[in-house]
Amino acid sequence: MIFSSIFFLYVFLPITLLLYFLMPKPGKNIVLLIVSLIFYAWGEPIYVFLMLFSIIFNYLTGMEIEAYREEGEERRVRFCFWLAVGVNLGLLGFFKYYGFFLENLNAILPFDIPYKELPLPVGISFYTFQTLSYVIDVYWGKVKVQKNVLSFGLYVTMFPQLIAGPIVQYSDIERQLKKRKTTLTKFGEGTTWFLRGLGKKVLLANNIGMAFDAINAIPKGELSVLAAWVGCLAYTMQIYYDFGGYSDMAIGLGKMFGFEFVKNFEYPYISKSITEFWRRWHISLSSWFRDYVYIPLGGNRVSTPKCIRNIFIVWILTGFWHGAAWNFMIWGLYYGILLCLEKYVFKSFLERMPEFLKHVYTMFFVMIGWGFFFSTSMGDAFGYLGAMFGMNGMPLVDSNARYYLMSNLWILVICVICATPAAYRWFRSFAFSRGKYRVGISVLLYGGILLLSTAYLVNATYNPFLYFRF
Amino acid sequence: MENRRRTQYREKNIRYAERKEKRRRRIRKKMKKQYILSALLLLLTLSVVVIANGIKQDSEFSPTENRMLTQKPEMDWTTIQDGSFMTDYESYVSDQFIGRDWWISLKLSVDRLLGKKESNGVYLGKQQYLMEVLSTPDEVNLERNLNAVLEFQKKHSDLNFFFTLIPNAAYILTDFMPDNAPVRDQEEDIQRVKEKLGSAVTFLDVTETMRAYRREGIYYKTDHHWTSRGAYEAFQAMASGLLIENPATEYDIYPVTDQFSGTLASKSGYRKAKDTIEIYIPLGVTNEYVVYYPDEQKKTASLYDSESLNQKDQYEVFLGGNHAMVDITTTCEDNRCLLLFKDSYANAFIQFLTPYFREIIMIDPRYYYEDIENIISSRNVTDILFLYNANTFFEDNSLADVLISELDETVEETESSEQQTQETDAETETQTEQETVQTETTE
Repeated sequence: MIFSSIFFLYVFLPITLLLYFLMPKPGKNIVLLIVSLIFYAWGEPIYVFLMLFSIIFNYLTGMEIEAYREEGEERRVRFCFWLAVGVNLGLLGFFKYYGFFLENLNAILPFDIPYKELPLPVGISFYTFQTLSYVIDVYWGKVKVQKNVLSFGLYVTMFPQLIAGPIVQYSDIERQLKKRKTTLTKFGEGTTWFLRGLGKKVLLANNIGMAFDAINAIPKGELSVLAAWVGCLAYTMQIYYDFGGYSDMAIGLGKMFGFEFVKNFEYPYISKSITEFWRRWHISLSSWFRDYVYIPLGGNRVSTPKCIRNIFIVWILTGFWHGAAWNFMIWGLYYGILLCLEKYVFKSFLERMPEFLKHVYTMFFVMIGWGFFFSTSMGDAFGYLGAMFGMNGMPLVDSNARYYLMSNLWILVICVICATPAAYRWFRSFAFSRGKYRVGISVLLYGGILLLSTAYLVNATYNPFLYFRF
Repeated sequence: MENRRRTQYREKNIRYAERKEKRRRRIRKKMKKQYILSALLLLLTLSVVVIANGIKQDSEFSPTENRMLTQKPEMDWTTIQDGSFMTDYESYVSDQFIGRDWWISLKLSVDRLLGKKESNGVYLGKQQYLMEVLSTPDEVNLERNLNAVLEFQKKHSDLNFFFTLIPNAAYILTDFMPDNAPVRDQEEDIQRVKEKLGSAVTFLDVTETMRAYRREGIYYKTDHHWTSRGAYEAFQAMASGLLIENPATEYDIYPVTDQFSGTLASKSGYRKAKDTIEIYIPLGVTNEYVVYYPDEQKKTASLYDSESLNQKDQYEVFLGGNHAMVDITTTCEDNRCLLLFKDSYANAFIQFLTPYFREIIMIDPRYYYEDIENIISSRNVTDILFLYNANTFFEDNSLADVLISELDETVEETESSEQQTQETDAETETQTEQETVQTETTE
């Protein structure tokens, strides 16, 4: 089930809210756990058992680590820990990378190993990282072990963040599982987050996505330079509003039930360097890799060659996390290289660049990066990127380019404006300055988002959710 | 002096801080108000919609979308296990959503406002013209169909062979297309067909004619067909090619409906425009005929089916829509018998042909499974015409099967010996196909 659907909005959510707020306090977590399991099973009726296994296994591991530690058996603690890491990564690897691995192995081997590619369990990349963060934090002694299996289950399955993050670290939410406040104000704050996210996903991402799909369907040899750039810009906007909007909805739903999740996006497209971009894009994922891979490897407090090694490890893993395909690896590697160059080679040069050029430089490389990301193969990626630079011998502008640019001009302009903090800042200052009806008007605007999103969802011949693949 | 300035400065600072604090408090208060109102708005909307959906009776059919709506699915273990219950339930909720048509039209208005020029594969042209996106030729089947036509001609080289492809609105009506909309060069595709067919088949090219009359309403605004006017202009251009002497030029034109809302209106959702369907009755020629529908064993004296005017697809007023076979016998003194392979474009064209042929046999290969050779030998066919609109023809995969059903031997002779293994496969396939067809007919 996804949030941006009529069924979620007008069936699942009302029932959930009703049950949750009618239930007296001690039962609230159980209600949330049950609806979350239904939420997951709705889309994955079989794989829900895989998730249940993962919950129980990691819960027991936590308990065991705690027990052995009290007995002072450090070797057994280590064994439990590495077993848990192995099992979690093993499951993720099996379901996500097994087909890819065998496909490439068959390409090298003289004989073929027959295999059947498994459908990817929805959200496995996200919840595996959450359970891992718990086991690692327990092992490091950063958090206390969770003795209540229901609370632990709720941490893993909580439906707002189950399918597409943010990747909540256990330490961030430990206390909220036991004690949190739900007030009408906070519920309302969550509502505004949710509606903003809904609008981003349904009104912006889905609409601009159609332009990208149309342009990407044109054979690479017939793409003019402008058409290729319009397509790439459309995708740049689509992926941000798709994923960012979904994260906003998750954060909003979390707030409605009294939770505070970390922010996942912080206007990534206003960054002035690639380093900054990755501090603003998919923050929960970058923090996870920083906390559980980069820093344990020594981070940047080691010799330069080792630090470069660490950066590459993190970025190849980041690329691979996004999908089992070579183009995602290349995409990760691409960022690894860019970040190393920024850190060690061009640092002072970049700092002296005029502000405007910094933005241009960052967006240029981010958009090229999306070229690797949205292509289904390396050949496709180079074909598309080639078209962006006129390598296919097509003219700068053709009627295709004019058509797709003009028929999507408004939506592109809206997308670009809303990707900067200016639009929301203006909206807030409008709503909260002196004047009688301003708050009312701002609420009506939120109502307008809900109205239009409903209209688009009812008409949803077109509602793919991009981050399901990961 | 120094002291006073200092106190003044301090007081100013305090006042500033107070103002700032006040402002912060005001914003916080307003924010709280916004949050509470938003919460109430959401809760109210959800309750109203949920209650309205609960009260509303499920409907079976959506006339605007012209399809059956999903009904509440039955829950059982297997449908839950394979997830079909969930997907069905989601489409059930969406299909039965309160005010569905209103939501859809709201969405389309917003799209229009944002400058969208396409909806569901339909261009939203100027002056309310809707035009279907042109199809890309399916090369494999196109090659197969054209080869079949050539083989068929070789086998019946004593007959007159005519072939025409009607270009589609999106290619012809450039004046009404959205600016810069990407359009496939259909003329190039049509020329390719013409070249492939060579001289044995008379290719009647009407592209220029259609282009010349592009402002005369030769295509419906809301439907993918041509109008009777379009068919009339094409007929005038084709008549001499079809060896018709002195074609009628005077016609009585009767509008039969001005409320036609065709397939493109349904597909795109834009329903503002309405079309007029006209029928053309030639003057100054004898034009009496009997139309026989073998499938329904029905005979009428009219090409027009007035009952179709009461239904959604009013274009079916021509011959009541598509049939596998329609057999028209006339009182024409000319002894010509025309075998017409066609799609729905021909339905509006036939009204111009009846005065000039003793018999016209219309075959729609998409629905026709019987042996075509029997017809040719038993009816004394003199002329064969292929009439399709380009979009349909370039995606057709049925013509070759009808034409080569009895041509296996000829096919084997002409193709190179290297491919013999493949051919035997193909042969057995056709044979089995024939067998199944035969069993179907005997049933």
